[in-house]
Amino acid sequence: MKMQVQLFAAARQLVGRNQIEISFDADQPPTIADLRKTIQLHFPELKRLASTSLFAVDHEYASDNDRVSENQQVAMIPPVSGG
Amino acid sequence: MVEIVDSQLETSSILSEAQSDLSGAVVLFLGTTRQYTGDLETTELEYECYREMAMKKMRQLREIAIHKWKLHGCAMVHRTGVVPIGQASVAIAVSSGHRKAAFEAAQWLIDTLKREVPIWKKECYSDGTTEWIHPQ
Repeated sequence: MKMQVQLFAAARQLVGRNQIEISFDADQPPTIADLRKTIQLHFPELKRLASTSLFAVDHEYASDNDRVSENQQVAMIPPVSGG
Repeated sequence: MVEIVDSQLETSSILSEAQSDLSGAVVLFLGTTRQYTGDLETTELEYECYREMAMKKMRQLREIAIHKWKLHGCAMVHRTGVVPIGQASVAIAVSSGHRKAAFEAAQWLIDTLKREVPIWKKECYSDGTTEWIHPQ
Protein backbone atom coordinates (compact mmCIF):
# COMPACT_ATOMS: atom_id res chain seq x y z
CA MET A 1 0.00 0.00 0.00
CA LYS A 2 1.00 3.59 -0.58
CA MET A 3 0.51 6.45 1.80
CA GLN A 4 0.93 10.21 1.48
CA VAL A 5 2.42 11.96 4.50
CA GLN A 6 2.14 15.73 4.82
CA LEU A 7 5.22 17.61 6.03
CA PHE A 8 5.55 20.94 7.82
CA ALA A 9 8.15 23.44 9.01
CA ALA A 10 11.73 22.04 9.22
CA ALA A 11 10.58 18.64 7.87
CA ARG A 12 9.12 20.29 4.76
CA GLN A 13 12.27 22.39 4.34
CA LEU A 14 14.66 19.43 4.77
CA VAL A 15 12.89 17.38 2.09
CA GLY A 16 11.96 20.32 -0.14
CA ARG A 17 8.37 19.09 -0.53
CA ASN A 18 5.20 19.39 1.51
CA GLN A 19 4.25 15.76 1.00
CA ILE A 20 6.06 12.42 0.64
CA GLU A 21 4.86 9.02 -0.49
CA ILE A 22 5.67 5.97 1.62
CA SER A 23 5.16 2.39 0.39
CA PHE A 24 4.51 -0.66 2.56
CA ASP A 25 4.43 -4.26 1.38
CA ALA A 26 3.21 -5.86 4.62
CA ASP A 27 -0.17 -7.62 4.75
CA GLN A 28 -1.68 -5.55 7.48
CA PRO A 29 -1.84 -1.77 7.77
CA PRO A 30 1.31 -0.26 9.28
CA THR A 31 1.45 1.22 12.75
CA ILE A 32 2.66 4.75 13.43
CA ALA A 33 5.92 3.21 14.70
CA ASP A 34 6.31 1.36 11.36
CA LEU A 35 5.61 4.57 9.50
CA ARG A 36 8.22 6.49 11.49
CA LYS A 37 10.86 3.80 10.84
CA THR A 38 10.10 3.67 7.13
CA ILE A 39 10.33 7.44 6.80
CA GLN A 40 13.68 7.39 8.60
CA LEU A 41 14.93 4.67 6.26
CA HIS A 42 13.89 6.34 3.00
CA PHE A 43 14.44 9.96 4.03
CA PRO A 44 17.68 10.05 6.06
CA GLU A 45 17.41 13.83 6.24
CA LEU A 46 14.32 13.32 8.44
CA LYS A 47 15.95 10.74 10.69
CA ARG A 48 16.45 13.00 13.69
CA LEU A 49 13.30 15.08 13.39
CA ALA A 50 11.06 12.03 12.82
CA SER A 51 12.24 10.57 16.13
CA THR A 52 10.88 13.57 18.06
CA SER A 53 7.79 14.15 15.91
CA LEU A 54 4.24 13.07 16.54
CA PHE A 55 1.98 11.83 13.77
CA ALA A 56 -1.58 12.91 13.11
CA VAL A 57 -4.21 10.70 11.51
CA ASP A 58 -7.33 12.47 10.28
CA HIS A 59 -6.37 15.58 12.27
CA GLU A 60 -5.91 13.84 15.64
CA TYR A 61 -2.63 12.85 17.29
CA ALA A 62 -2.01 9.11 16.97
CA SER A 63 0.03 6.86 19.25
CA ASP A 64 2.80 4.51 18.13
CA ASN A 65 0.56 1.41 18.18
CA ASP A 66 -2.26 2.93 16.13
CA ARG A 67 -2.65 1.54 12.61
CA VAL A 68 -3.17 3.71 9.56
CA SER A 69 -4.98 2.79 6.37
CA GLU A 70 -4.62 4.12 2.88
CA ASN A 71 -7.63 6.42 2.86
CA GLN A 72 -6.67 8.34 6.00
CA GLN A 73 -4.95 11.73 6.12
CA VAL A 74 -1.51 11.35 7.67
CA ALA A 75 0.82 14.16 8.73
CA MET A 76 4.17 14.29 10.46
CA ILE A 77 3.99 16.86 13.28
CA PRO A 78 7.42 18.09 14.44
CA PRO A 79 7.42 19.60 17.96
CA VAL A 80 5.10 22.60 17.74
CA SER A 81 6.07 26.23 18.46
CA GLY A 82 3.01 28.38 17.94
CA GLY A 83 1.99 31.25 20.15
CA MET B 1 -14.60 32.55 17.69
CA VAL B 2 -11.59 30.61 16.45
CA GLU B 3 -9.60 31.89 13.49
CA ILE B 4 -6.27 31.62 11.71
CA VAL B 5 -5.51 34.75 9.70
CA ASP B 6 -2.59 36.03 7.65
CA SER B 7 -2.93 39.72 8.47
CA GLN B 8 -2.53 41.96 11.52
CA LEU B 9 -4.70 40.91 14.48
CA GLU B 10 -7.58 43.26 15.22
CA THR B 11 -7.56 43.16 18.99
CA SER B 12 -10.60 45.39 19.51
CA SER B 13 -12.86 43.10 17.50
CA ILE B 14 -11.38 40.03 19.22
CA LEU B 15 -12.10 41.65 22.59
CA SER B 16 -15.66 42.55 21.70
CA GLU B 17 -16.20 39.00 20.48
CA ALA B 18 -15.31 37.73 23.97
CA GLN B 19 -17.12 40.39 25.99
CA SER B 20 -20.51 39.85 27.57
CA ASP B 21 -22.84 41.94 29.72
CA LEU B 22 -22.88 39.05 32.18
CA SER B 23 -19.13 39.30 32.74
CA GLY B 24 -17.21 41.05 35.47
CA ALA B 25 -13.80 40.30 33.97
CA VAL B 26 -12.23 40.19 30.54
CA VAL B 27 -8.65 39.00 29.99
CA LEU B 28 -6.83 39.57 26.70
CA PHE B 29 -3.51 37.79 26.12
CA LEU B 30 -1.31 38.80 23.19
CA GLY B 31 1.81 36.91 22.17
CA THR B 32 4.12 39.30 20.33
CA THR B 33 7.34 39.07 18.33
CA ARG B 34 10.24 39.73 20.70
CA GLN B 35 13.36 41.43 19.33
CA TYR B 36 15.97 39.78 21.55
CA THR B 37 16.28 36.23 22.88
CA GLY B 38 19.48 36.30 24.90
CA ASP B 39 22.18 37.57 22.52
CA LEU B 40 20.23 36.72 19.38
CA GLU B 41 18.43 39.49 17.57
CA THR B 42 15.24 38.52 15.77
CA THR B 43 14.16 40.58 12.78
CA GLU B 44 10.83 38.83 12.25
CA LEU B 45 9.02 35.57 12.86
CA GLU B 46 7.31 33.49 10.22
CA TYR B 47 4.51 31.11 11.20
CA GLU B 48 3.19 28.06 9.39
CA CYS B 49 0.26 25.86 10.40
CA TYR B 50 -1.49 22.62 9.55
CA ARG B 51 -4.70 24.52 9.06
CA GLU B 52 -7.44 21.89 9.32
CA MET B 53 -5.92 20.30 12.40
CA ALA B 54 -4.94 23.58 14.06
CA MET B 55 -8.52 24.88 13.69
CA LYS B 56 -9.89 21.62 15.08
CA LYS B 57 -7.49 21.65 18.06
CA MET B 58 -8.18 25.31 18.85
CA ARG B 59 -11.95 24.67 18.75
CA GLN B 60 -11.50 21.72 21.12
CA LEU B 61 -9.45 23.81 23.56
CA ARG B 62 -12.05 26.60 23.45
CA GLU B 63 -14.87 24.18 24.27
CA ILE B 64 -12.92 22.67 27.17
CA ALA B 65 -12.10 26.10 28.62
CA ILE B 66 -15.67 27.41 28.28
CA HIS B 67 -16.96 24.36 30.12
CA LYS B 68 -14.27 24.18 32.80
CA TRP B 69 -14.18 27.89 33.76
CA LYS B 70 -17.83 28.70 32.88
CA LEU B 71 -16.68 31.40 30.47
CA HIS B 72 -19.18 33.79 28.95
CA GLY B 73 -17.04 34.37 25.87
CA CYS B 74 -13.82 33.03 24.38
CA ALA B 75 -11.98 34.10 21.23
CA MET B 76 -8.74 32.58 19.92
CA VAL B 77 -6.98 33.95 16.85
CA HIS B 78 -3.56 32.96 15.51
CA ARG B 79 -1.71 34.76 12.75
CA THR B 80 0.42 32.95 10.16
CA GLY B 81 3.02 34.22 7.69
CA VAL B 82 5.47 36.97 8.62
CA VAL B 83 4.92 38.73 11.97
CA PRO B 84 7.20 41.79 12.41
CA ILE B 85 8.78 42.83 15.74
CA GLY B 86 6.23 44.08 18.27
CA GLN B 87 3.19 42.73 16.44
CA ALA B 88 0.96 40.00 17.82
CA SER B 89 1.02 36.45 16.49
CA VAL B 90 -1.71 35.17 18.81
CA ALA B 91 -4.63 36.68 20.70
CA ILE B 92 -6.74 34.97 23.33
CA ALA B 93 -9.65 36.81 24.94
CA VAL B 94 -11.93 35.35 27.59
CA SER B 95 -14.66 36.72 29.82
CA SER B 96 -16.17 35.38 33.02
CA GLY B 97 -18.13 36.47 36.07
CA HIS B 98 -15.01 37.09 38.15
CA ARG B 99 -11.33 37.67 37.35
CA LYS B 100 -9.84 34.45 38.75
CA ALA B 101 -11.55 32.22 36.20
CA ALA B 102 -10.67 34.57 33.33
CA PHE B 103 -6.96 34.72 34.26
CA GLU B 104 -6.76 30.95 34.76
CA ALA B 105 -8.57 30.15 31.52
CA ALA B 106 -6.42 32.51 29.45
CA GLN B 107 -3.23 31.05 30.95
CA TRP B 108 -4.37 27.47 30.31
CA LEU B 109 -5.44 28.28 26.75
CA ILE B 110 -2.11 29.84 25.70
CA ASP B 111 -0.05 27.18 27.53
CA THR B 112 -2.01 24.35 25.91
CA LEU B 113 -2.05 26.00 22.48
CA LYS B 114 1.75 26.24 22.62
CA ARG B 115 2.02 22.53 23.49
CA GLU B 116 -0.63 20.98 21.25
CA VAL B 117 -1.76 23.08 18.30
CA PRO B 118 0.16 22.29 15.07
CA ILE B 119 1.63 25.72 14.37
CA TRP B 120 5.35 26.40 13.96
CA LYS B 121 7.51 29.52 14.04
CA LYS B 122 10.64 30.26 12.08
CA GLU B 123 13.06 32.73 13.63
CA CYS B 124 14.68 35.13 11.17
CA TYR B 125 17.82 36.53 12.80
CA SER B 126 19.66 39.80 12.17
CA ASP B 127 22.66 37.93 10.69
CA GLY B 128 20.44 36.65 7.88
CA THR B 129 20.07 33.08 9.17
CA THR B 130 16.75 31.39 9.84
CA GLU B 131 15.73 28.54 12.12
CA TRP B 132 12.52 26.54 12.53
CA ILE B 133 11.76 26.21 16.22
CA HIS B 134 11.06 22.63 17.31
CA PRO B 135 11.33 22.51 21.12
CA GLN B 136 12.62 19.20 22.48
